[in-house]
Amino acid sequence: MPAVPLHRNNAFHNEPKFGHFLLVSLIVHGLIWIAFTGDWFGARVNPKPPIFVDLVHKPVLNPQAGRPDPRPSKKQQAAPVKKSVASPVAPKAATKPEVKPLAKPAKTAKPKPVPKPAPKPDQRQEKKVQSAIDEIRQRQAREAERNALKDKLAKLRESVGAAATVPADVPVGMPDGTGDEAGVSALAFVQAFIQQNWALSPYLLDRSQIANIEAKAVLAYSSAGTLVRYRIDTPSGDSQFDDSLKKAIIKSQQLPQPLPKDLELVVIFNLKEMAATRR
Amino acid sequence: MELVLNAGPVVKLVLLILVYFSVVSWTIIFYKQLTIHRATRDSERFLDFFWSKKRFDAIGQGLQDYRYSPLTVLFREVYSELAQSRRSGEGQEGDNLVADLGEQERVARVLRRSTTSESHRLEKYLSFLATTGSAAPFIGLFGTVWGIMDAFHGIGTSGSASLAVVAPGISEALVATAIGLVAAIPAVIGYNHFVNKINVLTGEMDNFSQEMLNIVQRMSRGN
Repeated sequence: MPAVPLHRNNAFHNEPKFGHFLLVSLIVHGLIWIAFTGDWFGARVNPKPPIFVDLVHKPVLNPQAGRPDPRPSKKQQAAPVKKSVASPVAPKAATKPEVKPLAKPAKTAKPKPVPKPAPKPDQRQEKKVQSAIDEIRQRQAREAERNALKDKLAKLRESVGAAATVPADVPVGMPDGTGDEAGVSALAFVQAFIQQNWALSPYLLDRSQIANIEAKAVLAYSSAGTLVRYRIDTPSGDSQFDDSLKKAIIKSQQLPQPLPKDLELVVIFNLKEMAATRR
Repeated sequence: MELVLNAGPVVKLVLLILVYFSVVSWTIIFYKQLTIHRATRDSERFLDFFWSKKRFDAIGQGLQDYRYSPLTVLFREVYSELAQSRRSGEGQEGDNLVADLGEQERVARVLRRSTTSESHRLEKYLSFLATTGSAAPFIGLFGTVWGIMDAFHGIGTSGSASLAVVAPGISEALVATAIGLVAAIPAVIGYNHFVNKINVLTGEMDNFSQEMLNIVQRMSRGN
């Protein structure tokens, strides 16, 4: 028989080195990492969701308007004080006592002294002044109490503030003044602001079209809250509707507060729910 | 990137473990792909070569061209066993039938041993793929559960349950499950693929062993 390698356990297979494959694997993982974290060709890894603006959920500027207020307003409270100070003699109180003495002497021919009824209006005035003063004092006390509570609350917030995890891009409150709690995102803020600036009467539109009418716009805001550019990607086709949203965008060109960073967002204007409720 | 950097220390540790699993899994996948591909290719070529020759000597001279095939190893082991027995049997007088039966038995043992060792060689590192496939999702899930616990603790401390406060913590936690699945899915697919290929090769080795035994038996009778 010819000479064949007869000794066992020799490196007959010539196995490849494991280290080379480890290197290849590390390179592949590195490339995948770069591919997922890099900003390729302007593609956003985390695109902003479109925001929907409609006239249905428009924020109410003053939800309490038209509601009877159990407490007297400031004007109502201030009025009696002013009256009592500016005109110490109330017209009704002054005339009443004067009429009686004039009428009686005519019958009896004995004129009664005038000063008698005079103390009456003074007491009333004093009472009124006193009550007004009391009211002012009470109000001041309430004010002081409220301020003390506010200070206490601010201190509590400060102490808790370090532990609270509020993201950096969260503005506080809404443009209409509602809400003072952290947690309203920049998108929600912009949405509410545009919504506030959008005005359109649905009576101007064709009723059969209300349910389907929709327009898509792309707005770009700088971090200072200024509208850098905008374009209407998909117009609705209705000139009234398109004009109204253009006006809303132009009105919203300066946000009342800066944004955490530059923001490009897709805004969809529609009246869908309004159409549903109107039918 | 931000999701990973903002995660808690436990979640980061879980992510590191999962990355390790993923890197090693892919290393094994590349390694096995090459070795099993070479073994399959050389086995097919070796079988063609083997049946085209009529003498063991001629086959023995061309073994280096098919060195990645497990069948080559089987043939080489049998060939060296036969060579040794022939060498030790030269000049000895005795019962030829007993000697031939002993030779066949030895060849059968050599074939069994070689088949086992080649199967082990082909299956090397596959257990890591199986472990990754089964354990990585659970490790990821552990990271997620831990992260969500942390997030809810933070929500409780801040006292606000708005989406802006709740969502980042949960999304950071879910990254662990996502990476666990990213590590596990290729490992499971690779494991099943390679086990299937190895089964085919093991079958070929069994068939070849039977053929070799038959040939050795015929050679003994020819003597």
